[in-house]
Amino acid sequence: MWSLMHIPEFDDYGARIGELTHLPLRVTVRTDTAVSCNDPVALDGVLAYAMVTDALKGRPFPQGAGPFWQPLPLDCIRRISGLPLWASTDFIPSHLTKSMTHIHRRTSDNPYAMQGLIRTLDQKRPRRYPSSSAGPYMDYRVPERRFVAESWSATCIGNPDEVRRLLGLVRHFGKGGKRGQGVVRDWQVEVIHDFSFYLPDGRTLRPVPITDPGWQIGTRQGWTPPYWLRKTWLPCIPSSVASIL
Amino acid sequence: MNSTGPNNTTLFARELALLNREQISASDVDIQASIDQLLRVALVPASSVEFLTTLTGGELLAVIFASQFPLIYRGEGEGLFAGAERYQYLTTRLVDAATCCSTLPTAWAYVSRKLSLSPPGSGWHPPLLALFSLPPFLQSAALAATLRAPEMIVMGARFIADGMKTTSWRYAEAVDRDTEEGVIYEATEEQVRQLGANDGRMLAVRIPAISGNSIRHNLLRAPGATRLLTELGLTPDREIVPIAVERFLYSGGNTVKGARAPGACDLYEAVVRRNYPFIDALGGSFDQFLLTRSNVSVASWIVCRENNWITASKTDGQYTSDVSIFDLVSEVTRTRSGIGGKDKESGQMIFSYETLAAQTAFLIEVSFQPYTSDLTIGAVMQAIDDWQGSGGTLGAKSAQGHSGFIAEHYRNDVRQALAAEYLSYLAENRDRLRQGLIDATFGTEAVLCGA
Repeated sequence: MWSLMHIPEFDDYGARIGELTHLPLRVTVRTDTAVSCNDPVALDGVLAYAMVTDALKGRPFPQGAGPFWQPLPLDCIRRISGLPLWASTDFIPSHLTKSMTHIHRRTSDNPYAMQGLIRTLDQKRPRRYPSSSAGPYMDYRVPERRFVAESWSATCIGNPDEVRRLLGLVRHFGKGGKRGQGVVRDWQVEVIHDFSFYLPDGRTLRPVPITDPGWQIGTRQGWTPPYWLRKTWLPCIPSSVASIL
Repeated sequence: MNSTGPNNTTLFARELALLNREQISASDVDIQASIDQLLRVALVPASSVEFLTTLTGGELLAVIFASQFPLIYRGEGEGLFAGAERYQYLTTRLVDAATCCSTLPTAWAYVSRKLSLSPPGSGWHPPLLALFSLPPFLQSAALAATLRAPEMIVMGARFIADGMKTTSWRYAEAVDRDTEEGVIYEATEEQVRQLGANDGRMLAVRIPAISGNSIRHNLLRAPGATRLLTELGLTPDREIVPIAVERFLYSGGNTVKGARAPGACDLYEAVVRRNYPFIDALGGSFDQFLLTRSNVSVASWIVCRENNWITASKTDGQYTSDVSIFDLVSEVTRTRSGIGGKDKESGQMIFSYETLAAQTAFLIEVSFQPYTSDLTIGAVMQAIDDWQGSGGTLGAKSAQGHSGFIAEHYRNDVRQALAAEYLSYLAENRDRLRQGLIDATFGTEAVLCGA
């Protein structure tokens, strides 16, 4: 297992939001460009990104250590080895259309480096030139999924004002924001009547760790922010949103 | 984007976008009447009715459109639509046509040109005219369905064409099949509903775009890297800095095989970001670890009728257009010789590529993450200035005189003054920053980039 670590800035933020009132909420985002993602986008993941950006004032999130306690203005359903399972769902697209494109990375795009590279390697190893099909100078043609939807909605139990404030820091939705994917047009936060991340048929709208020893099957994956931190992955009931992407 | 067919045509990149229905004349259309008018003149074999009922509305129109090719150019076919590979050729050209065109007449013209087909006889005018006079919204739906499942559309077209052959008793007798009747297919309520649903929903269409990846490289990374090296007296391409460092600056670098992030990678990243605002802006990958994020993002929209709802909202209505994106794209055909190797003149190759009309405007949004430092913003503003100063090209084939742009408005940005601060910073810290690149430590205690 892991030992939970604390960052003073995060703890200060947690102290500030500790007494806020929580209500069931629906969060909706509309984008001006296609969204790129391989996995469902989790509301608690988006809020955690915003919290980290805000608390660390733009400094990078520590990569090497962790997991860190990341307080969010959401209800915590339960703690598993100290980490929170937040009361929030993945974003569900409305009227989804899918597509695929490719992004390219070519060393030969650089008119300076490529020429110098050829000369350098030529001096070291005669008749050998940088290969664009293998090795460190290989060209990449990476498939990237594209989704357009009229809107993407998730639900949670949280403080509407603080959720709204944190989302105001998020300019891109999904992956590839630096290349202009998922440019956020607006966020809407509205109060709803009730919340559950379970559907009537037992499926879930977010990954839920399997704590029942009777369960035999699960997908090992992230379930709490940051979702990419492999050491916190657990066997989970996967989100049913993944099946529609 | 390379064409899917062996026809030496390079198409413009396309991105999926949502369009309001009004932008493709979708409002106030009698869907049922339009479809009925088409189906009355486009007969289908009775045996295909069951298959046709399984299709969506868009697929139905696409199959009927595609079936006109085998129906008209029957027998041995003609042009490239002949021989054993004719349906493969039809599939690839249909995909290209559905990508390039927004209406069925232009798609028909595209396929006819690419397959060298003659004009159809007058007997075929009624179904073609009925297809061509469908409301633009229905034509878009047919082309979108073609793009989603081109093989199925061509298979359905072939099914219809083969079935219609057996309406001739001579043919049916020759191939030992029963004679069929050509019937008028009645679209199902679901198919009409799918095509006519006017509930305010938008349509997803693939429209031409320059990728954010390309803009990021041309507009920011390449000019920013050149400026950094030049200001530090490290002329690019003189092998003063390690080639891996140049590659990191110009192409973003890459991790090496078996990369393992050092324990101090967070510290290294913080030091590199503080020392080199250009790297703080664009990020990248060192040999052993990735920089966690990029502080600058670029997004772009071609100013055209389809994008008006975005470009108008982002510029208070200043940038809009009445022209469709599909009218802004045209095809250029060139001939290349000497392709036999060793500079031997051994043949010619005809190839085509798409271009955007001259004076087409692009809206490029360069945005920064919260808490981005002034020096980092200054590095980006300087890169944009340098991009314009060095010719201002975006996209491909600048060597042939394409892709030149003139930037407007960025000079009025108050943050332009930060570029001078960035240059002052480089001048004041010249020796330290220069050494960090020469030894590939970027100011840290470790060599970060040596592959």
